[in-house]
Order: sequence, then structure tokens, then C-alpha cells
Amino acid sequence: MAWINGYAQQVKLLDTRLCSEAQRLVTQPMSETGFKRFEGDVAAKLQLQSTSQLLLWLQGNPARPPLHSDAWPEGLDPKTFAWGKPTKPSGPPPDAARPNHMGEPGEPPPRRPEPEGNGRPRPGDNGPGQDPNGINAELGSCALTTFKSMGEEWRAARYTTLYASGLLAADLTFIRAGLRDTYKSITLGVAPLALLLTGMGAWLLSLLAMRPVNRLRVNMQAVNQKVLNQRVTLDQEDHEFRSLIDAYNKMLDRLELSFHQASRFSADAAHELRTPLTILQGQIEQALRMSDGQSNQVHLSQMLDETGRLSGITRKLLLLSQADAGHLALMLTPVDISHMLKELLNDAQMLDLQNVTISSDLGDHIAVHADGQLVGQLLNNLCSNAFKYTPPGGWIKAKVRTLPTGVEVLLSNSAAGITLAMRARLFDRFFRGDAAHGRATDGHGLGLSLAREIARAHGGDLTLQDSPLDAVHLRLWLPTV
Amino acid sequence: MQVLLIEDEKRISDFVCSGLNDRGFAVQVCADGNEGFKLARQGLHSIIVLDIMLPGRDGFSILKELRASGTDTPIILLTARNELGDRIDGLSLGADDYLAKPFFVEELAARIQALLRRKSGSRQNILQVGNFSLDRIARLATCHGHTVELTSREFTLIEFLMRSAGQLFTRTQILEHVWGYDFDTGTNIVDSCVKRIRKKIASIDSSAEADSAIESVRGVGYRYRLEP
Repeated sequence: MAWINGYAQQVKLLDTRLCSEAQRLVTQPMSETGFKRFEGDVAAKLQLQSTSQLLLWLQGNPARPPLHSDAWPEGLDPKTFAWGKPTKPSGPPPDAARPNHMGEPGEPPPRRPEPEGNGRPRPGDNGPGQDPNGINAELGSCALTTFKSMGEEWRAARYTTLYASGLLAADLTFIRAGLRDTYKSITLGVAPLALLLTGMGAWLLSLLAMRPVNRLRVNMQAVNQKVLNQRVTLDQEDHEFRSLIDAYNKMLDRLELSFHQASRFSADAAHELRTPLTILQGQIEQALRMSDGQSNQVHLSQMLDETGRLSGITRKLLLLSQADAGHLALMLTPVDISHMLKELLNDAQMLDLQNVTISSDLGDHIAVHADGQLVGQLLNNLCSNAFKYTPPGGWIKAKVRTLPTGVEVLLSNSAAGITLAMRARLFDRFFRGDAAHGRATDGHGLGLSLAREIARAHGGDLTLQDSPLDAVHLRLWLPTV
Repeated sequence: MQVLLIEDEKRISDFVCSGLNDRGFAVQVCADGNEGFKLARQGLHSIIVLDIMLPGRDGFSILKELRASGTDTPIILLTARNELGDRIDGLSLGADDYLAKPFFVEELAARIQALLRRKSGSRQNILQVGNFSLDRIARLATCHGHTVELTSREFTLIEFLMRSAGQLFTRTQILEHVWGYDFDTGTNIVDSCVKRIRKKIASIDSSAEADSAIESVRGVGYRYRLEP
């Protein structure tokens, strides 16, 4: 495409030159030697290799045969060319522009009133009485054409005045080859370098332009629910990004505010519930202790169960809100994970689970530095979940092992088809795994969420491992501090 | 046994007072921090149950000053606001134990007894009701002089019942004392545990008395029979 464009431009440039040279040919009085000199001069101007690539033809006095260069092929007659519409070259023509009508030969064209007033019509005693080429070309103008001769393509320009008509043609094949060479050198040499420079420039520029964006990205990645106080600083260089950063910071302000409000709200709510719950539970306990009637005792004990459940939820909500705010205060002591799990798995035997196979590899007193109360609660939760949801005939497997950086607990159990959707929501608060089964269940779906928060507060994590749909594999990891 | 209860919420101090009285403790209640501190410094009480949020002077400040002045009366903190943080602060300031609200008075009584036992030495370490006795230090159970092999959970459960023999406990109370928080298996583990203890005792002492040492109260819970 570029080549075609370049070629078209090159031809246009050539046309202009040919026209101006043709004009010079016609308007300059020229002797035989002058004609030769002119030929060499034009060939040099057009950067042709030799005069053989240039054709000249000049018809002055129609009575005499036309003058032409040596390369002019025998029998080539300009009249046979398909001339394009003549155009006036820029600048005033050196001679009168008068329409050359098809008059009789030797006769000057009849006088006409000057239509435009540019140039003077001269009584043509020696002007060409007729169009030398038999073409109705306007005087003082340049006509162009392309013709084939001697197996080459030629571009020709003809300039016609009242007195003479001159033709100049250049070897187009040569021009084309020259153009191709130029392009070749551009593509092979200059273009790769230019491309490289452009690329590097673009890269540097984009690097420069992306700097604030990158800073923003790093900052955004650092922000999570526990670290909401990160802000991007407004540097001098960032005026384009200033409003963006400003908007981002304001959004974080609002987010932090509403998050803290939400976190404070559940903490406050849970705390406010504690005093009435304490009173309620204490008074029911007191009433139960004092009552004699069996039916009263049954009712009171049921009430006590429910207040106990309420206390459990309240306590978990408070712990979760503290975990969300990053304030889960840990009291670190050595905690024997092996022992804790062994005791819990003994409970499973006591529970007399129906045909549930329990296998374990708990290691020998594998311990971490952790909060005994919270880790106990975490393991309680994981194990009681496994006991509760393992179907009859299923299995439970527990494994504890020491890793270079901490302790890993793998707890797996068979399950009654836990779908992928349920798995994705397993750690959601107030999500209950077997709601789909329509079975009334105990628990309130805060346990696993809290278990994970406890693990994370210790710098560890609780994750669901990939497994078949009829099993649950949980991995608890606690680092050795 | 004189207990000093420093708690400003009257409805709480009422039921705590009543519950501890039933367990044989004399309770002196004080609703003000400054007043409570003065009483505590006299050193007349066997144990102090201390709330944290108090008018006049908060529990931490009382605790700190008592320990600084050399008062070594055992102190149990009642925490509410920030259970985990209060627990750490309280223990580092010299509290002996803590209990988060809401709590069962039976649990508070158990903690008080454990603390007093720890302080008084070995005399109280043997808990005996009828022919059954528990060595709390060695965690050894004997029936008619024969050792009964109990697991840790079984021992804790029967100890909890025996310490307040004759007192009825609900399953929730037992569960919380023996298993702690967040142990909810859907089936009743307390029943299973009691069943196993009974079986173990029966294998030593085949008389009917052993089987009924832990009495079931239908729909409510269990109590340890005071005397057969």
C-alpha cells in the first residue's frame, strides 16, 4: 500500500518536472548543440543513468521536420499517444495562451479578442499553424501520457505554445526500479531502527504514564477488610491522575467508615445482648434449681438450652466482629494439637456413630504456640461438624503432621453429596450445609466461618481441599511462631 | 467460706448470690468499685468475684492495686465487653481465673471450688460420695476401692456432678463445662458419656446402687445421688 502510494507520488513529482522541462524546451531558443546539452542537463536533473532513458522531441517550424533526441525510436509518432487532459503549469505561461484551433497549415490563427488578458496574441508568422500532433491541446499548457516503446514504459509531457510544441519522456521502468530500491533500503535499514526507537519510546512513555496507575494497583491490592486505612498519596507528578486518586481515596474513606460502623454495630449489639442474656440465663438456672415439679424442670431446662444457644451465637458474633476488625486478642501458650484431636476422636467413639469408620494419624504431641481456648473451639467445631454430617456407614480421617513452617491438620469425612455451590458457600456466615436436605439441624452456620477467622488470626488458614462430591476435606494450617 | 461479689447489676448479683448460697457460700455483694476495693483490701474473704465495668472504679484498676498492695485473695473476673482482650489483661494483672458473661452459676461455683482447693492444698483433693471417690490430682476414680478406668471427659463429667451431689444439671450446663464452646454434634454426647460411665461402674460394682449413682431426670438432665 505504501509502495503504491509512494509510486503515485513519485510519478506526480516526475510529471511536474517533465512539464517544466518540456516548457523550458519549447520556450528556450535552442540550437543543435544546445539541444544536446539540454538533453544531458535534463537527464541529470531527473537523475537518470543515461540520456538513453530520456526522449526529447521538438517541433518548431512546421515546415521543418521535428527535432528529436538520439534515443527517439524510429517511427514513433507523438500523435498516436493518448494524451491526458492538458493542464496549465503553475506560474504564468511564458507565451500567449490561445486556443489552437484546427486551422489551415501555415496560417496564423485568426485574431480573437483576448478573453483573459494574460499574454499577448502575436501574429503568428512562424508559429505552428496547426496543432503539430493533431490534438486539440490548449496552448501554454502541459499534457501528459504514458506510452510503451522499446519494451519500456515511458512517461511523457508535452508543452505547446503558439510557436512550438515540445515533448519530453522519461523511462518509467527506471524510475520504478529506483523507487523500489529506495523502499528496499528503507525497509531493510531504516525501518527496523525507526520501529525499535518508536517502540522504546512508547515503552518508556507508557512506563512513565503507568507509574501512578501501578501505584494505585499496588495500593488496591494491599487493601482488604482489615487494612482499610491505606491511602494513595497525591504526588506532584500526578496531576492527570489526581482526580482519580482523589476519588479512590474518598471511596476508601466511605468504605472504611461503613465497614467500621457495621463491625462496631455487631460488636455493640452482641455486647448489649450479653447483660440481659446473663440475667435471663441466671434466673432460669435459679428457677430450675428451686423447682420441684418435673414438668417445670423440663420447661426450664429447655429454656436454659435456648438461652445457651443464644449465648453461643452472641459470643460467636462478637468474636467474628472482633476478627473482622483485626482485634482477635490471642493468648499464646503451647497447645498440644495431637492431644486435643485424640480426645475429640474419642468422643466420636462415645457417640456411637453408626458404622462410621474413624482412622487417625495424630502424631506424638505435635504442638503449636497458639491460643488454647480459641484453637480448642476451632477443633471442637471442625470435629463436631464431621460427626454431625458423616452419614451412617461413612468414614472420618484425621491426620496431624509437622511442616517446616507450622502444623497441618487434615480432617476429612464422607458426606452426603455436597454440591459445588454448597462448597463455595461453606464458610459463609449463617450458611447451613444441609438446608437442601430439609432436615432440621442444630447449629447456626457461624462455626466454620469463626474457625477460619481463628486460624487466620494465628497467621494460618482453614481451607476446603478438592475432593469428590461425597467427601469433605478440610485443611487447617497453623504456623509455628 | 466468704465470697466477695463486686458487681453493679443487681439482677445479676441476685441470682449469683442465691446460687452460691445454695452451694454453701456466704456472699457479700458490693455494687461500687471504690467500695469494693476497700472491702477487698481487708482480706476477710476467701475469694473475690470481680466484674470489670463498675461505677467508681473499674475491675482492672481494683485488681492491679490489690495485687500491688500484696492482697493474694483468689480473684475470678467476670468479662463481658471484650472477652479475649479482658482475659489477657486480667490474667496478666494477677487474676486467677475468668468467666465470660453469660455464665452458669453452677460453672462459677465449680471455678470457685477449684480455686479454693488449689489454695488450700491436698486435703480437698479427694472427692467422695458414697462408695465412689475421685482423686482430683491423680485423676483417679475408685469404687469400693477398685479403680475405674475413666477417660478425661468421663472423669470431668462425673466430678462436675459429684461436686454438687444432689443438684440437678441440665445437658447444656454439663456440655459447656465438660466440652467447652462449640461442641454441637447434633446427637447428645452427654447421654452417651453418662451411659459409658454407668457401664464402667457397673462392671466393678454389679449392685443396682452403682447403676443409679447418676440419676437421670427425664427431659432435663442428670444429678448425682447424694446417698443411695
